[in-house]
Amino acid sequence: MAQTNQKVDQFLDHLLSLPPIKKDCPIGAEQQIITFIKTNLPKLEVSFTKPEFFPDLPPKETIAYILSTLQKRVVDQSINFFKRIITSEIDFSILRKVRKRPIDEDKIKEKMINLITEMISDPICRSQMKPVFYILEQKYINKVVDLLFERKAFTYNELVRVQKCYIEAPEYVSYLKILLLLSQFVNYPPENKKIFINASTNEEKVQICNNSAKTLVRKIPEIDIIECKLAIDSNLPENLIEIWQASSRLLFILLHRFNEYEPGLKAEKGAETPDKSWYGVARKIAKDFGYSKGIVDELYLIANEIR
Amino acid sequence: MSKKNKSNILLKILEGFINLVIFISILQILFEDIALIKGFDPKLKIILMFIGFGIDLIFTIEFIARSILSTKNRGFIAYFFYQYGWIDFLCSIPLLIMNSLPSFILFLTTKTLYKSTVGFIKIIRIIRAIRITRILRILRVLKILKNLQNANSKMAQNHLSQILVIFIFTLLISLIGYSFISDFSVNKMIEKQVQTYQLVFLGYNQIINDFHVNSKYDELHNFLSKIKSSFLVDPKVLSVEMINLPSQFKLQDNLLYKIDNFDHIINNFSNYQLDIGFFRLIFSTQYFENLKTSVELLIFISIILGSILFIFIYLRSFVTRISDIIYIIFKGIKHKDYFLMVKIPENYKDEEIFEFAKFYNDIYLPAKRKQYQKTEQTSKISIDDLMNMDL
Repeated sequence: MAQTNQKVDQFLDHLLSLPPIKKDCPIGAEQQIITFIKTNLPKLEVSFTKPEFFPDLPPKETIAYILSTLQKRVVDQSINFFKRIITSEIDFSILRKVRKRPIDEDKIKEKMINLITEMISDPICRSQMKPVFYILEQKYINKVVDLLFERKAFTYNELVRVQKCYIEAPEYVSYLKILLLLSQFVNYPPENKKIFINASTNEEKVQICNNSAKTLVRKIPEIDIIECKLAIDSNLPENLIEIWQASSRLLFILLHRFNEYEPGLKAEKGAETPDKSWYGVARKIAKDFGYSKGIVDELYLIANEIR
Repeated sequence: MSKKNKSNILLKILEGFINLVIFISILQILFEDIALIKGFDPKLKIILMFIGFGIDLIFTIEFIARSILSTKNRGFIAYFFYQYGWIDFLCSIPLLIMNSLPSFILFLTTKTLYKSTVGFIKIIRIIRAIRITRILRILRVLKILKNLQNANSKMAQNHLSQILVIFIFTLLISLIGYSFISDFSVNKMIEKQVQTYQLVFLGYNQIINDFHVNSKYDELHNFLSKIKSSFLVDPKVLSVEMINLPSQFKLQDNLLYKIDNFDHIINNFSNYQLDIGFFRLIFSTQYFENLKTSVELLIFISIILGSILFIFIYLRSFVTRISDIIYIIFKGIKHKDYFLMVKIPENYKDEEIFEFAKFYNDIYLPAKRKQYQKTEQTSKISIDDLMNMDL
């Protein structure tokens, strides 16, 4: 068994070090490997019986074993990552400042870590955390908020004045990171009767989000329902949320942007950068996809300065 | 290694070799002309002659090989007229048959250098410079143009080749035209120089005759001393010898004038001997040869510098303003998950290609994005990635 463990580890090390997925985040790499196994299952089953692979195990057991080892690795790596973000990159005191009520920061941190651990352990929710991982890994919110607050244009006005959240840029960074971390709670099956990604109609989506926000506030009562709603509603297009929810509108765009994010994608000569291109196309289809036109226009303008 | 891979490697080695030969041929032409002007050691000239022969032989073999191969592909006509086969031809067979082969045979049989290259053939050597366009590939390899993504695009290379051919031929036609103007021909210039010397020395002859008739031998000696100093101011005069002098003159040494490095100049540069009455004049014609060679060298250097500037300035401009844009748009049309927009420089946005790019950015890509559904996810890993795995 020890030899099989070692071989499985080596097999996964080999796959994870392959150039096409080397730069992916653990969640992205896991998705790639699962897709690879799914699409090549018959060939893999034959290959795995060969002496150089796993001749002692039936192929189906081998695959199940590989997948469980992979999952364990990815969950561990992701939890460590999010733990680090929660403990060292977010200032939870901002919640006290925004809602003007006392909060126990340590308790919120602990509950956030527990919740994220649960969410990451769930395969469906984990897969939806991929854009969240990239946004946080790239410190994208830090860069975007700094630039937006520097410009003091449309998005700043929406975030600060329309949402009535009068805080400074570094505080807004923490605030948005908290919302972002909670945003995929809507896709966590044990706490939702139906998860968001399976919703087919707009009414259903809104319903799921409303319920999910209520469930979330019950899980972490230290966080106000407004923040829970802002976090969960960042999955909804502009036309399905209220006008004051500027943070949700911004996060909705960022989540979509990073859902299509390709790590390590180099800028091609003659082409705009991947960011500029994405926002350039997004501003043209903003209405169809539910992006806030004003925000996406501004992100397009600052796209080349973000990195 | 598969057979196809092997032949690809072989093809790349051959291409690299030919590019190297093109580069050497440019240096060879340059050195050959400089050797002529500067009167380099004959041994060096022999080496350059051998190199020239080798280059012409290699280009001839290459042309024949390409011609044979072309019959298996798109045909000889296509190769000759549309893939610059005619340049390959001009740079090979005529030069080999009319220039380097006769020089080579002459040297092998008589151990002397074939000096007078036919003017037109000499000019045609410069056509070799056109093949500099092939060096584009070397530049790509050297990553000199690393900022230009599509510097190796066929379209960019063909356009640049066409422009270089026009540029080089314009200069060559000017050079050929120049060589046809008789006043600028070396022979005509020598002829004029001979006339000048004849006039001067006929005058000297007349004076010597007068001294002879009047038996003024002392004055004659003084006169000869005086004219001797006048030769110093004309660097073309190499030596002046007195011939057919009447016996009464009793000159100790018939050699009136001889420059210091006479032997070196006689051996390494061209010269002309002229007998005018009492005088035998040897003067250097190198000055006129140099004028001619300098013009050719100037044209050649202009071609090389012009070509380099075209490669760095025009190619850059072509690639960034045409082929990069086409490449991005083509990729966007071909690949369903490619959504990069074309970068449109503010200064050129009115150009048709950028108007087309604007349409692609503003209409095509958003429409494609609306249609695009990320359906069945495809993995970036393939089964081949497991093949070289060592567990």
